[in-house]
Amino acid sequence: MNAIILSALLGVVMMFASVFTENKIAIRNIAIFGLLILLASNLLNIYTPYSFNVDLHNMLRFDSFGLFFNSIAIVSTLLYVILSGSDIVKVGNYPAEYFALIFFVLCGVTILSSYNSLLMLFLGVEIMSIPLYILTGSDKKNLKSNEASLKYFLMGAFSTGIMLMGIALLYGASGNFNLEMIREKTSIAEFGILAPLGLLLIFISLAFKVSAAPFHFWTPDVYDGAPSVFTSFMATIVKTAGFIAFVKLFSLRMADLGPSYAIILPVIIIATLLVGNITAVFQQSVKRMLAYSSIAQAGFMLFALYTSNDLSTEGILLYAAAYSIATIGIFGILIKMKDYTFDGYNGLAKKQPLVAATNTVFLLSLAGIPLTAGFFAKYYMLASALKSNGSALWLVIVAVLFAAVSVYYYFRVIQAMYFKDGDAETTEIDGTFKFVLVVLALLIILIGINPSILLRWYYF
Amino acid sequence: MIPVLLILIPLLSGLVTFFLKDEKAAKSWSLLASVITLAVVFSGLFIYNHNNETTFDTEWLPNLGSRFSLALDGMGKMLTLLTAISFPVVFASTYKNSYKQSGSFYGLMLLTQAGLMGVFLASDALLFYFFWELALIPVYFLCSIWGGEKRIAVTFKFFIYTFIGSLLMLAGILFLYFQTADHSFAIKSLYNLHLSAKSQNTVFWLFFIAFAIKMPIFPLHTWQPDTYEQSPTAVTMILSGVMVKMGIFALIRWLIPIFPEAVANFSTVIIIFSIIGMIYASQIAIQQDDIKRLIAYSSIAHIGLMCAAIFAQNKIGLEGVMIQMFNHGINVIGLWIVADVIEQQLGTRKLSELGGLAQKAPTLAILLVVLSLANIALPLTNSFVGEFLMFIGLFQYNIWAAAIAGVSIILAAVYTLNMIQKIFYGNTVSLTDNAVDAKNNVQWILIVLVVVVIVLGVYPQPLINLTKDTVNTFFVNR
Amino acid sequence: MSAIQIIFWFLSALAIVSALMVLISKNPVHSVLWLIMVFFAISGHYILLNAQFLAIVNLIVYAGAIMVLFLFVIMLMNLNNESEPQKNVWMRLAGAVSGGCLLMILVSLVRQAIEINNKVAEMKVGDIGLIGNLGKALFKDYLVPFEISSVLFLSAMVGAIVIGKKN
Repeated sequence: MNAIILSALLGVVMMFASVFTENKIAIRNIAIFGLLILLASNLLNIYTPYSFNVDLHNMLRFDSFGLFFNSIAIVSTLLYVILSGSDIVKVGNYPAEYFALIFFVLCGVTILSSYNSLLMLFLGVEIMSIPLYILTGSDKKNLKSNEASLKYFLMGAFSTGIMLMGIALLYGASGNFNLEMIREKTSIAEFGILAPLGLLLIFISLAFKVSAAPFHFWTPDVYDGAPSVFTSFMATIVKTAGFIAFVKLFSLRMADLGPSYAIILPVIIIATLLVGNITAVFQQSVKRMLAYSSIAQAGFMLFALYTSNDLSTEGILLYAAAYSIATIGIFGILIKMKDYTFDGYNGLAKKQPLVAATNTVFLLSLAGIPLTAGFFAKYYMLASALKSNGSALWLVIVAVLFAAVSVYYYFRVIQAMYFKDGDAETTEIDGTFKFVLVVLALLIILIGINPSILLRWYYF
Repeated sequence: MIPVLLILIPLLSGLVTFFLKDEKAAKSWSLLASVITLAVVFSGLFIYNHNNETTFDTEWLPNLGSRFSLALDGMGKMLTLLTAISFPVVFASTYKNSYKQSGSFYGLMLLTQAGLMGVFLASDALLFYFFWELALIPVYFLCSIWGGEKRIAVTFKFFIYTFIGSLLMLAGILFLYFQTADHSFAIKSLYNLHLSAKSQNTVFWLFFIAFAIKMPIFPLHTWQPDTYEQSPTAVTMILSGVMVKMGIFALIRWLIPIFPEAVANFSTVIIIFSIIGMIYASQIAIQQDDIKRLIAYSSIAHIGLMCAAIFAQNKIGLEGVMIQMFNHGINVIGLWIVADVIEQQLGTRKLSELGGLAQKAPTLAILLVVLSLANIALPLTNSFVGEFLMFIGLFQYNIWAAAIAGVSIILAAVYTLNMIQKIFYGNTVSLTDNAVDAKNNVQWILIVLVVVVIVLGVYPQPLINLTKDTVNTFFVNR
Repeated sequence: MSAIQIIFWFLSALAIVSALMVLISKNPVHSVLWLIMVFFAISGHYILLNAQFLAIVNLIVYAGAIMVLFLFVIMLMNLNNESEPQKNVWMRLAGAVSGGCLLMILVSLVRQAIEINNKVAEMKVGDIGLIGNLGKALFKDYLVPFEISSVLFLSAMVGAIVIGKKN
């Protein structure tokens, strides 16, 4: 509860910050300080009894899974703001409001990690999405940004409608919004058809939020059109939060929804991997490539829904952390580039050896090379599928083949940086930026050597 | 502690090398590090060779069931020895070559060594996979930065090939892990598995493709000649001398004992492919004009024979493979050194542009002739013993297989002698008019290699002793 | 058939027909007017369910405020037939086919649902839509979502300012 309340309050604080100061750096520092407070409050919530005590009527439930994800999301946001904060304030004239919106998104994220009622799921998704529509369009003079925002909003509105329809059907089947009650009531055979239909509709709308194929069409345009700093935020924290919501709702439900779900999910996983990876291969712009790669990564994260066991819950948390850290780093560097195409990276290793080296670590992590966090993230996902069901081997084989495809486009960036001659132009890169990049890279390698560095906190 | 040292010394010294700006310092430092590693291997073989010192086991990923466990045993002893010998040899023989950003070059080389050592020492499947990849990544950068003209595309092909293979292997490892009784990656648990025939037949291929790409076995070999040709020669030596042994090693340690039924089912198919590969590669080798490509194809032929002998599944063939793994490494590194000397001095690798070098560089000529004879397995050279045993093994399996494979010996003689003739004999051409003999360091190294070739040719018993554990357990298990 | 049932069927038919007309009419202003019709029909359903307060709120908020806003926007943008983008015939066909498939599946699913066959809405029995009970539910059981939805509005307002304000 701490994180939900404080993130909303900090959003209000950021709104008022612009009244008192015009200094953009000061605003960024306030945001960093706010995130630290948020992190501290969330940690208090996990490890001590100090927490806001509200009569929740079972609307929210705070378990270690959700709270631990909150920590991951807040730390990722913190790293993101420290790394790219100076670029956030450059987007437009309302730096404080941008941070306020980011805090509101975090409020949505923290609701999604702890909802126990479909009502809260809906509110969480909306609180997370509405600020994003605005952040997407925040570069007002850029036509692409406007288009992306409108597209995102329209598509998002449709998916919201579908989700509401699903919630209504579930409510009709069970007479309740509460997850446990629904689980209890709808497992009785006589409430057969409405509940699966409702769940299917919710599934579609959540698949839209996490850009799983075939509901991914908005992703490339929106990620490409949005200001790069906000794409970074969207592709990482927001996306993983969507998955957490997904896992919370579906991990226990899949099995008793009948045999058709056993087909739907593998089909969606393979379609997502296929669309993301194959299309990413043909991109010329790194930013667009990252948009497709985020679809491809979503394909792997969907494995957390395939089966429900300790490996899949640990795995999705690990994946969230590994993927967020690496992507934040890559986008942080992308923002500094003057040319977003692959050729724009030519010769970066000579001009900025440290930046190129850390970028390589991030890319290797996304590709899932051992000794990086990304490897264990993928490993957990595949292992969770195989653990309960040996016949999932074929799905695992398909997934690893697509992982090999992903190497192709991630390594194109590495090739450009190291093996090609060129004059990669960047905007000014300061010491703090490099320092944070090194921290991110170290985090990735440490988790890659031993993931229990991260996961031990889950079992604290 | 010995296995840990074998990995840590190259790893840490490699990381240090990245920060050495001075070329000379980087060279001497990495040479020193590799010599120390060699000394450690020797101490592991002869002084501290008790079980306590040659195995290492500690907690690594408790909730995944993987342990950081290493063991220096049987075949591993021989291959770590080969690795430890090759690196100083490579460093010393290319001492005069200069590389841009030499610190990174030698750093990556040492990291490769760490990865290779890990592969040969790991006795935990996940750890094995880790080192398998760790050996690959530095090689990717080495070839792509310091390689020839077409390096980027060629190396990428190589990387994608091997990466697909290793990912399939990972899927297989994961599958096996969940089948083990105690949910463990330990090699012992995997050996104790009793898989159903159906899953054996599937998972066998996941592993085999990974290893076949690495060796490489026809038709998965297409990355190899290009990569050997484009890589800087120092890297090519490691690739063909040591790295291909990863595939054979893995076949013997990680594949055959785990899938006995599948091996029985598919051995014919694989032997057929191996033999096709041998003949095919030898044929192409005859047509080659480029020394490096010629050696690359000859290497495919030799590896094909080893693979066939492994799947013949008899003791004598396996002993031959063991001996030949080591000897092939020594021979092929020697050949690459000669190729490098010629390229560095004359700036070409084309056979058609060379000739009459024997008049100008008599020492080099003698040494190359001995190495080449070893390459075609003439009696009294080291390869003879190995190939002879392998052919007997193949003969016991199927007389026709042995007969067809035998053709490759003749073909090997054709292309090898052809190469010698074109490079060293005949009249000098304008290019070779001013050629001089190889430099001292190279000569000494080649002399050492030639001595090894002859000694092991006359007295191969040490290698048989070194690997007899593996050969024996291999047949006890079944 | 009782009078209430007749009204129920009438309102349902009205709602469906109006909703169809929203989609079919060429003129966007007509669409909006038909949409208002839909809201009226639904408000009628609310009254049948003994939820007078919700019926009124529905009329005031949707039919009143939001639709008037829509009308303004449409009239300001001066949308008409000419400014309508040309639609490809194939696109229409594809849309019709995929939409038809969805409709077919939903209808067949609902038809198969034994539990709702032969059931009609329960008239005059519920009392949750009365203002007192609604208030109690909202401020007791649903207090948390009620309060949290304020964050949603706040963020929407901040967004409106960021997007709308002139530089």
